[in-house]
Amino acid sequence: MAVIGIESSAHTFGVGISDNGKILANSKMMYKITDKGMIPSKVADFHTKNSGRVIRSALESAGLSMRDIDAISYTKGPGIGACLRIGQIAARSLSVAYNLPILPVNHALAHLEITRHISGAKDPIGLYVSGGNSQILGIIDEPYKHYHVYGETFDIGVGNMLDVFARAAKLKPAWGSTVAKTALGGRYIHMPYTVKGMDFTFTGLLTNAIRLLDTESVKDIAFSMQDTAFAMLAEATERVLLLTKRRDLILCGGVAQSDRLRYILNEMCGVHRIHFHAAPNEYNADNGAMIALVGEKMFLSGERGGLAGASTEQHYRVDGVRISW
Amino acid sequence: MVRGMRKISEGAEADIFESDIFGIRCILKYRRRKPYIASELDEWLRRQRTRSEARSMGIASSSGVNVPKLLFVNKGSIWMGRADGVTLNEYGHIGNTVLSKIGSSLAKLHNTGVIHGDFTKANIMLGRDGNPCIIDFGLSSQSTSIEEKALDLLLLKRSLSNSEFAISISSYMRDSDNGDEIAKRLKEIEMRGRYQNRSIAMKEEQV
Ligand SMILES: Nc1ncnc2c1ncn2[C@@H]1O[C@H](COP(=O)(O)OP(=O)(O)OP(=O)(O)O)[C@@H](O)[C@H]1O
Ligand SMILES: [Mg+2]
Repeated sequence: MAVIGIESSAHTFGVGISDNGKILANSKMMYKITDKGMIPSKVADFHTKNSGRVIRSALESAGLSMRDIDAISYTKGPGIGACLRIGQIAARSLSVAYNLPILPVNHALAHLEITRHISGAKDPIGLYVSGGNSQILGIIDEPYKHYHVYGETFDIGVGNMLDVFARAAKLKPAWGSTVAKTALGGRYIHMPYTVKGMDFTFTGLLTNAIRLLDTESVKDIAFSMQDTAFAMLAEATERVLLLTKRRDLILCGGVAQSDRLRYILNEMCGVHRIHFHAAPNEYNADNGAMIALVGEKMFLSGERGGLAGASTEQHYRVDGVRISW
Repeated sequence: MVRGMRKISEGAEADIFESDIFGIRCILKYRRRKPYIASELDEWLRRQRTRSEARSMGIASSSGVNVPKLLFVNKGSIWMGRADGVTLNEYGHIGNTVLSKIGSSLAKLHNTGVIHGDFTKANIMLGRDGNPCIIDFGLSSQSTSIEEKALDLLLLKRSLSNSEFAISISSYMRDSDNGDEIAKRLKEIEMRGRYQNRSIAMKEEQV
């Protein structure tokens, strides 16, 4: 039983292979983001040019050929339309060429599921933090088994906030991990802190941080903005954990690579004797392995898919996906 | 801590103790330190929330909303009367009278300029007297903003079933000073917010 999964929702083209829950391959190529950000059509061209090479590399590291593959999965959304379509086309072509079932996967669900899979936690709360999203979720059975969103950002994702700030502060390269480095040793400046129960907002914090660039040091602003945002996430997550009485927290998504965020959440969980799990970083960055893993779970629970349903959806919400496993 | 106190709940920011230290059954809400976030931020949050919680409870009580009696406030700690019963999310079927009283309570709060900030079933207690008691003003603020009031309603809406919310909102509309405008804003927030997934749209805009 082997499933090949293709991810292309943003600047990464990734291909993974899952075999009975074991990840045999996780190959990827990343489009280099310049200071101007990325232009969707350029990224799509990059994906088109490299798709064949990444697929071959995944098969090679798994020691398999397409003849050994039982099904194909790909990212249906959410993501950037032009990028999603390249993965979709690659998956559809393989499906036709090798006459294999094709399974569309939700990107957020894949981050959550691979982290849950590795952690071994049965019934965790998940904090999913990426560029475009920041959500606190947990699986519930009503009206059907799915990830319920307990809390989320009312405006932008936390990764987005970090990236936009990095660009405004002219940090290089302009993304979140550079903000993290800049923040080391910074002093605290008071910033807007907005938590509404289990939801939160980041634009007020971002606007304030950018405005302060005229008068305060970048280091201090970076530290204060980052710590305020992470404290907000930790508080909302803590509220969801206590409300639902679940005993495990899983952290996933691009921003989950932050050591500071992991530290804060781990300490918060410790207070309540809750187990904290974060995925290895190769699965927090966008990757094909998680798409393969979920594709395999769908396949094993009887889903077969088909070309007719193999679409893309830019705003594909995780709470609309029925979990059949 | 003080002798004769029993921890009855561990909340997201506070521990709740029960005691009879003043000769009556009362509750101590103690905001924990969070040594894992910036210490200045932690200090500010504990002080600011304790203060605004006490202030909002005072205003709420004098405008006729059923809240625990405020006994004593001290940086990080609030002593208050004990509310009877359990929180609504531990309660089974919620009767129409109670749902209607919940709507009225929120309208009264908003009329005097108190925003609750976390108006969900977890923060409403109900005992034998059938009179819902509003607790946890830790995220409250004093504001006349339509947006903030609509967000309180949105939190309630998400916490109740559709048919339950219908009863609460109708008493809210009856007792609110500008219910029409607030209800209209609630619709707008739902349109532009989570249901449209604006966060993803923005991701695409700036790439
Ligand atoms: N006055 C009171 N009388 C009786 N029980 C109370 C009272 N105040 C709080 N409690 C109990 O303690 C619990 C937590 O209280 P509260 O919501 O104020 O704390 P919190 O830490 O702010 O909670 P969270 O942030 O998780 O919402 C309540 O759900 C309730 O069970
Ligand atoms: Mg509470």
